[in-house]
Amino acid sequence: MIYKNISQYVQQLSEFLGGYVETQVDSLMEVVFPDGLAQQLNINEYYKFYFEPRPLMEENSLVLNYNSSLLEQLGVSLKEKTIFSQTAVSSLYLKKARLEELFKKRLNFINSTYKIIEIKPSTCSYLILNYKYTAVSEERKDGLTSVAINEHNLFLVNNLYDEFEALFIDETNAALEVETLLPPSPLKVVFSMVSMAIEKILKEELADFQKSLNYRLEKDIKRLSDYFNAIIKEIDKKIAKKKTNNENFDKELSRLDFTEKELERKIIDQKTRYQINVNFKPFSALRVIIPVVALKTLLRCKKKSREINFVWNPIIKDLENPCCKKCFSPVANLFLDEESLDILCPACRG
Amino acid sequence: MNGETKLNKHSQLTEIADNQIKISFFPQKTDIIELIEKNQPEEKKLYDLLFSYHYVSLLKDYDQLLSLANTKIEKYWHQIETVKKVLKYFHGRVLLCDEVGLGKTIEAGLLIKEYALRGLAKKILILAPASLVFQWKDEMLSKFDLEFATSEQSDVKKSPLFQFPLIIASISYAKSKNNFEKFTGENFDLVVVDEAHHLKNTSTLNWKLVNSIKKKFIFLLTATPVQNNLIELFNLLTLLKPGILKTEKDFKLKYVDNDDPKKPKNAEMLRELLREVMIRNTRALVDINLPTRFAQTFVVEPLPAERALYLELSAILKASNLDRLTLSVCLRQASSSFPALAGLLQKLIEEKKIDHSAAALLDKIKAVVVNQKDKKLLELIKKNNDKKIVFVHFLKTLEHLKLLFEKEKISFVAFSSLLSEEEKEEAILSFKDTAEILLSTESGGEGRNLQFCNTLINYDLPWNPMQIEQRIGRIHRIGQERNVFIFNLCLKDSIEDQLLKILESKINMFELVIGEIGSILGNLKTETEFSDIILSLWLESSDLNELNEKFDNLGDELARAKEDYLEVKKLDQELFSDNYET
Repeated sequence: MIYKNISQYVQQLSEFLGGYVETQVDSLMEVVFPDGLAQQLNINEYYKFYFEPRPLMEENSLVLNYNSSLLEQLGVSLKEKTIFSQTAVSSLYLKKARLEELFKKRLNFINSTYKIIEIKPSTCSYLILNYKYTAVSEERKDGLTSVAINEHNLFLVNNLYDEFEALFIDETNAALEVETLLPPSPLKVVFSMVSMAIEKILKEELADFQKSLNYRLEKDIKRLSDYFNAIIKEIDKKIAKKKTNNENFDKELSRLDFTEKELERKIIDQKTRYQINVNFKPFSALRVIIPVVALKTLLRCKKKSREINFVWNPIIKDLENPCCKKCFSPVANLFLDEESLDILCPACRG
Repeated sequence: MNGETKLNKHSQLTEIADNQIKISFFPQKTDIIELIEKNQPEEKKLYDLLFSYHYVSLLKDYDQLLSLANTKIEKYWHQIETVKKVLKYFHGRVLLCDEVGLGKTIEAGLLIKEYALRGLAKKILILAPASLVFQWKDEMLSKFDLEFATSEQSDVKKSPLFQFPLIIASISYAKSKNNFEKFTGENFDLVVVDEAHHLKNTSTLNWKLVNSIKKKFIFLLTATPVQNNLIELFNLLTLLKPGILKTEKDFKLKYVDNDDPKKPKNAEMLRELLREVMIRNTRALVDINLPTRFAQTFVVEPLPAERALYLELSAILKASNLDRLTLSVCLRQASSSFPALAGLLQKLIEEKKIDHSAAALLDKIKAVVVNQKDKKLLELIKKNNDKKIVFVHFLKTLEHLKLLFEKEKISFVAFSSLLSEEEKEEAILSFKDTAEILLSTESGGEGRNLQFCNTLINYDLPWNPMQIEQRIGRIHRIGQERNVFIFNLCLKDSIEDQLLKILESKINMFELVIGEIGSILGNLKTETEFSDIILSLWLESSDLNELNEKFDNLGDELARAKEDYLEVKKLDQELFSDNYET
């Protein structure tokens, strides 16, 4: 779970740092930090933390809010840390009835036939990758985003981070049931998919930011154009007047040329200024094993056949679409490559 | 090449601006793949803490807002950006001057919530014109779950106002002789002033009050910061950041045109300064292109019996000693529907607060089965199969129409404050899917998406035009793609008939942009609530002719207030243009 509440966060962080924490009332927390740590971070050993403004403060007491520099000091060891963790969700409702009907409704096999061989409860691993990003343009925007992917079939579970989080209330540390686990794809392949997905997700997250910058860029360019247009008009007038005097005529023409180039250059400058560069990096990954229903299916194309597991996901309460082998996009109308029997989307099949 | 050809070439150059800004992605080096490959997972608790660390870091820099997850309202990107900027760059002292209808109150509400959730503000004061105090209280509670105490509340009268951490007071209450020192003696973390253009003059008590109140953060809200001259802007900014524009003399010398006090000189320098303290989002930025709104009023000729009942009631009420609130409710109920009136009338008779002759009137009222307004309503509903919202103010009227619709076999769903949250959700879904009519009271439906419907029928009318506007705003809002049709029903010669006449003919109310009616009413030279003005007109009139005359005068005042508003709006548009957007 994310400690969105400041007092929860301070408690967890203090305990992680080896501090002893005592909470008396909602708005008061007493913390004793280990001596060595206090020295290392240049902080007191003992604090009385308050989380609401107070008129009078006792010794060693501090009102903590999200802007407090102490929070930064305490969290310094986490700044560059990368973490991989793993968990399992034990009990989730699994759909049993009318799965074949759903399968038929959701998937369309264009150049192959299919036969569901077996429907049985299995487990499946999902990888949640959390990214921190910084978009820099004429202004800066920082944010967090997550990608969740089924390691078996590469299905992207969009916007389901919160749902995953909510499930962890039931999390168990029981041994992962390897026997029933649908085999994960190689990590390299999983990451190729994630790399493609994350840019798309970031583009969506930055859409409003981009829109706002676009609006400002257009305004700036209009302002520039209006200004230079006025100059160009003035020069035009002069040219009209000085047609007879060749020397001045050429001079004005070259001024006109220069003004246009100047405008062009300034517009390019503006566009460069507003260009959005996004740096992003995953800082943590969580593998979650959850129970699913696997629909083991035999696909036949011409004389070849292969078995594939389709997955009913209890979190989205739906059948996951398989991904195109070439472009990784989820497919509802499936083509099979006639040689390899890989799943392809209509666009990649050509 | 001549100049003209060159100009053509130039016009092509500006087309570059049509392109979207490009986004380039730069993945940073990471060891996450190696960590996963090693498969030595760390504790989930540490994973949670790391996520929380990054989340809290974003909160520190205000790139993440706490208020978004804690409010259940539709929020638009310009509002979110405004909140982030106020936190990040304005350090809690800002002049919010969005054009009318873009949601200044929502921005202020989000900011208040954000400051409260972050522990930056505990003691908060909102100062608003008297007529807006309850609206603020209601919006803060329903949209932001913030319970403010107001100086008008009865519970507050029992205990001192300043015992409450969240307070809404009217400026006139706060500046009064008895209260000025009490307000200026308190320490507030945050002060919000609505309709801040009332602080334009340093010699007024309004300005002196806000200047003297001790506060860490202050938001000044107005769509029209400058009404007459630039000194008003100086006065407002001096409240926000004293000294930012130096002294009034310096300001005049440096930034005000010698011949025209409305015209700035050194405009670019002034703009740079103002950008540090002012945000003004325009409709062009938000790209609001709402479809056209068409309104039609049906003045229904009452049956002779109905008219007689109405007149008889008026006479009884005028002769009574009832308080203003009860009088106003009686009159509005009578115009809404007779069943709505019956209950209250019965109670007043039982409590002997009204003349015994009312008992006979009550019997006659109870005998009325169908009225002329009902007939017109049914006619409107049956005209086509489009979905329609029928608004009523009183629950008894809602009950009355429920019976009527059932009898007429009209597919409808009722929506009122009596429903639980779940039932409300179901009602809206049912209206979206199957029911033709949503029969609704005003309360409790704010924020729900009803844009799939484009027709609204006002079966009765609130006396406060801002409430009428709120009804319209339920369907005439972002997301509405079709033209919107509004039908008003009222009985001939009723108070509502008079009210609609002036709202339509004097200020074209139904063609105004959402939010503008508030600005126009704010320009009336009175602090009395509009519905109270209406009641006074009725009380002061001995007959219909006199009432007509008085409504005419009010209409003229409204027209003047609208002219003033339009003039100021134009001035502010010229002065500020789109230079202060988020």
